[in-house]
Amino acid sequence: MTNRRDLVADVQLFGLFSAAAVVERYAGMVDRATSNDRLDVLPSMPDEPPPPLELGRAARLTDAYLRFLATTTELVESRTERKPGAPVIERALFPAVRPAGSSATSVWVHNLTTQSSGGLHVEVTDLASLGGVVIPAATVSVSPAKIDRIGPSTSREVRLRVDVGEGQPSGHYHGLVLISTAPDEPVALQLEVLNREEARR
Amino acid sequence: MTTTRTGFSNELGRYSQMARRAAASYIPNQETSRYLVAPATDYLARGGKGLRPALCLATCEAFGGTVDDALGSAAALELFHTAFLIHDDVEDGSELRRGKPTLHRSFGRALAINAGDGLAVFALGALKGNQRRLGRRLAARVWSEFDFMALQTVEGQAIELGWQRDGRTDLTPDDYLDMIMKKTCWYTTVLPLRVGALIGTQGAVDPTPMVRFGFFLGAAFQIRDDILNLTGSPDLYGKEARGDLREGKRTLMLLHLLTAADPIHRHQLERYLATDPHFRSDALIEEVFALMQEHGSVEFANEFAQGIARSAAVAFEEAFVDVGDSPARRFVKGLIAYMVERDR
Repeated sequence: MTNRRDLVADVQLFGLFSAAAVVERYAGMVDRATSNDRLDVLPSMPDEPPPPLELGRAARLTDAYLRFLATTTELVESRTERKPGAPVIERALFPAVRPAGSSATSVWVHNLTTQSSGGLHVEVTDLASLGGVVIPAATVSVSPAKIDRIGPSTSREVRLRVDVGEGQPSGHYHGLVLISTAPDEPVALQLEVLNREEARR
Repeated sequence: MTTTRTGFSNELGRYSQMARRAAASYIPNQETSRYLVAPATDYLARGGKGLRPALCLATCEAFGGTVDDALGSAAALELFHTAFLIHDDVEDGSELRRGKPTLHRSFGRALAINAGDGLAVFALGALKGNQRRLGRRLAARVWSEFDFMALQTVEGQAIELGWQRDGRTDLTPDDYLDMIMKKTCWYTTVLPLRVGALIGTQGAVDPTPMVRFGFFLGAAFQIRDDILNLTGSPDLYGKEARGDLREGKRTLMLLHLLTAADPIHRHQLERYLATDPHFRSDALIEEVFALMQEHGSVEFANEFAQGIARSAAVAFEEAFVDVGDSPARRFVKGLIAYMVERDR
């Protein structure tokens, strides 16, 4: 039998997740489009071209669509019970990046309860490829890494940024985002490092 | 402290009236033919919510500027918006706008299309006036914001019309969000916020966070608009009921139904979408609407929008983090609930 509260939460998260991905694509676009008339007080434009987003978008789209399908079918009956008051966090996917580049994404921590959450920490593990190559956690910045509280029925964004070394082999890297108040619910974190030929396209 | 709903409506009405008056002042009605002036002023005289200029004016005030600083830009927004509405109504074959016959029904298609062109020209005049008040550099920056917005809007409209022409049924919510970012959000919320903040600070603010807040706000607005088109009262909403269904617009509800329906119903729906809109009878439209209700498509879209609106509340605090409390700041914050809960 469908758990209506979970279904509603899933759809709301789906909306939030999808909308955040759109913002990510457009924020840089408008900066570039209006840069000719920028005032000196505004931040200068980066020299390098924006990271290629299409591969990341395709993966995200697939993921989003799967979530979409999930909301239209019977929800899993044996859903894991969430601890009361534990904030909810979702999966995270970095846009694809080339070596010596950087990529950023966000995760959202949701407090779906009617009470404020306590303080919590967010941290990231190393990112590892299937071949065993590692991108150290130290190259991933988390902001904010510490959240004092999340109000009832509200959410907080946590921004993640990874700096990829110049000699980093291409491939898919996987890691986890860990939230201290939901230790049983690590979030999958994914990054694709493009090879030089893909990066030139 | 929060803005009460009554106070919010009064503020919306006040900003809206100022912008409409300013917009009308850029239409040279003394020496211009009535064949242009009459249709060009028709929609402006019907009122409307005035959300876009209100958002621009209030954001400018919240960031330390005055209403007069942003009035030219707010007027340009209202003029562009009215131009878009006229052309949209022609493209969609709509019957009603703000509770009355659409412009092309009142004046004929040719004069209506020309009036839309004229309003876009008048909007350029409003922006030209910015140079005197804001200075050359800031006026140029505002111009480039409008330039980018206009391209996004016409591209978004083209995408939506193209989907309908080509009978596309392979679309996802991501495609829908991308389309409404261009078609609706940029000129409805993102640009008013960015331009308001730029003018209010004399160009000293980085308007990047406004993209996030503006998109969340605009997406919640557009999804609510799509839902009202299906379920709202035509008397309040001002457009013909289920007009989007008749036109085959790829709304979130339609995309949900395409995914959730069993193969037989999906096939029926695809046949419906392949039919010329003129042959989509009221009975057929009601059948599709009944399927949407049966599969929870409206409920899905509503909750999807609620999730985005919740994000908008967070994004608002981020975008206005350095802005002190004021009636204008509270007004902008009050728009979040208004966008999702409105019935017109």
